[in-house]
Amino acid sequence: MSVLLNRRRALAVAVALAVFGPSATAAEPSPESVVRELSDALLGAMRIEGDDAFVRRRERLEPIIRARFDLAFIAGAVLGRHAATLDESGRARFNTTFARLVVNTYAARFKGYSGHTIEVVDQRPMRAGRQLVRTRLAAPEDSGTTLDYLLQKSDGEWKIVNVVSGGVSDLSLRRAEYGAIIASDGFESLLEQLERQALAYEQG
Amino acid sequence: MRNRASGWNVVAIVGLVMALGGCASNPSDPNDPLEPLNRDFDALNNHLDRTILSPIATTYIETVPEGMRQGVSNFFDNLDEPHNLLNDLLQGKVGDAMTDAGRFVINSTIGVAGLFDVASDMGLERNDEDFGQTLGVWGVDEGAYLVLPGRGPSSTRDVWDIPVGLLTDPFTYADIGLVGLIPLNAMAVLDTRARLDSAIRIRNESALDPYIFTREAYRQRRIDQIYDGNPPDDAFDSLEKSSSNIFDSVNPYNVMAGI
Repeated sequence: MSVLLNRRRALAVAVALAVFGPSATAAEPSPESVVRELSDALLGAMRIEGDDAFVRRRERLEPIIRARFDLAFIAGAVLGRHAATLDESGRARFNTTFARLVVNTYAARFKGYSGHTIEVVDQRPMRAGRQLVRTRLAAPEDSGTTLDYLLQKSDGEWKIVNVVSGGVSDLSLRRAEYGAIIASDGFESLLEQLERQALAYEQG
Repeated sequence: MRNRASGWNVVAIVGLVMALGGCASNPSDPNDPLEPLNRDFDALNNHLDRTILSPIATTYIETVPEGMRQGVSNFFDNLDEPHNLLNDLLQGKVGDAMTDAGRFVINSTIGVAGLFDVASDMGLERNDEDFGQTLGVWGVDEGAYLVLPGRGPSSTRDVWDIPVGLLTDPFTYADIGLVGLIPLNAMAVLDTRARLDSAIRIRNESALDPYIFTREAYRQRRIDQIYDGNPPDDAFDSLEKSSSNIFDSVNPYNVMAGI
């Protein structure tokens, strides 16, 4: 009897391991490793030069930006109270254009590698369960600039919701600009300007 | 209110503007009551920059080797050390004060009148303090945003650095006359403009409303400078604490204004 029970238990454990596998115990990427992964991609993009460098940088960066940034959340936070005045299709168009603009901006900006490094310099918890990871981007002989990331969990995964450089918050800056444009010229005008900006990066 | 422009100097300026008939009764931002006037000066500054300063700066950057341009920057940074030193002391930053005093002596002598920044190589890092930051550290509110014609962004608090800067400028006391002062100041302006060149290009590419972009970036940079690169949490996370209002942002200036 006891031999049968042991074998059954062993079988149950084996089945459980096969079904759930090692992923049951593996941790999803920590905020620090998300930032390190992005930083490596940014440095890799900076090294890309030559013809169609922008397109190749975008190819390198787009997957990781779309995966590791919570772009839908950021788009909502940027619109703030104006989000309530938009219908579903307006909101969808904004999210699409905004995501394209963010990707294009990173692909356009991170170029001109000359021995740059990105070091994680600090991290600390923020309110509402969010996490701050601070890095420094510097060329040799340069004091460099801070690149700080605010992350929060979305569906169990850590995602970036804000980037701050030299104390200037991307979210705050966009909120102020976009809010002013919506108030003075309306949402359609904002959307048009964002599309034009995204296109301008693509055309170089 | 902690986030409203405060101080008799603001009242005086706003009163003057209203008397001149140029005031908006409903500003878009409580910290920018002079927005219409500021936008006019900003337009003027951008025009002067596009037509005069930017072409000269571009030529300077393209023709003068980086080493020489760095020497020019070092020279002017060195002249700024007494200004840093005074503000370090006023803020109680004794360690920084000693560093800046050391920098001034070393760079002026071994560094050949400031052309070479040997002090940094010796581990004495440059600080960047001014009287606006000093007032901020003392708890003075940022005040009303100002765009100064011919200078750019400032505020009713930060303008007070202009007279303090003159007081601590070694050349205020040197007897070189206008023949010396004019080219020296012209060179200082060119050096500053060249250093800002890539930031201005990025601004022109990224900003949908360059006026607001510059205003917000300026105000946030100032807070970062006052806290020497370690601002309070609201600089990074201005999202509401409660998840029900997650798309509403805390106004970071409300919390940080009191400093």
